[in-house]
Amino acid sequence: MTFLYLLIMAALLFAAHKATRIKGLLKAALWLSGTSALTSTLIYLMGSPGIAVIELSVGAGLVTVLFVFSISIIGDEKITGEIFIPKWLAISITVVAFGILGIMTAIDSIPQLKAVQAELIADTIWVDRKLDIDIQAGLIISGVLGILMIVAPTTARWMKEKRND
Amino acid sequence: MISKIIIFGIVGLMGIGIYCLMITRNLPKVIVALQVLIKGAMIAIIYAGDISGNMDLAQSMALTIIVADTIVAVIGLALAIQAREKTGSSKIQSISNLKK
Repeated sequence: MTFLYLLIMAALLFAAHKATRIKGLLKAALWLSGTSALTSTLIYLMGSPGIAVIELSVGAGLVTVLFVFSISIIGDEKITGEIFIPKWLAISITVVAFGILGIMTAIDSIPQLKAVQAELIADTIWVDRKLDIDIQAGLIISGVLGILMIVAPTTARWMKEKRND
Repeated sequence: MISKIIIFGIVGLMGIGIYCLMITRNLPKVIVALQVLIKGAMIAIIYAGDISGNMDLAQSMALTIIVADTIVAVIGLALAIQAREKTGSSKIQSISNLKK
């Protein structure tokens, strides 16, 4: 089981690294989709199959489709990385983050994962966390308006061509 | 051992996300970095729920994170498209030129 976690985590970090460092936008979107799929596998192993399914369908499915659609409008431009923070700052942040992690590992203060299967979360979501549902409804309405903004240029162009014909 | 792997993964994902946020100025790429960063945070929340025995609450929060994450991606991409249509560039600086 440890080997499986190790394998998934290594693949996840590799996919995330490729998604952020690769030059083309379309390739970055595809690597991001792989990152989402591997994240959902990890979440499934950690005992949350419901969230894993939602992450897989939304993160690896819907977001990738939106990315590809948007890139087809924007154009797949090559991206040049330009570092605009001092190199010493980047190095010190990395050293501090991994230093804290190293200390936690050395003194063995990382709590053990139990990977218990969650019970039905319906009661938690619909009764105890009603405010979350209201916020999610608001967010989804914003998302619909966002999608309208995405398709607006294409629709406007299509209508213009139609009018000219 | 599994816990250590997960913690290393969380720190790695968040590190990759933050690093990419610092070095890129292209809006779609910033959204990719945010997505990676948020995935690290989501795994951290599920791990925290697991070790504290409060998995239902963690799952509920993870669900909210997924929704918010998707909406951030949608609105960011919409802004990138509008910026590209109006200014010809999808860099972050071009958003400030949208009002002109």
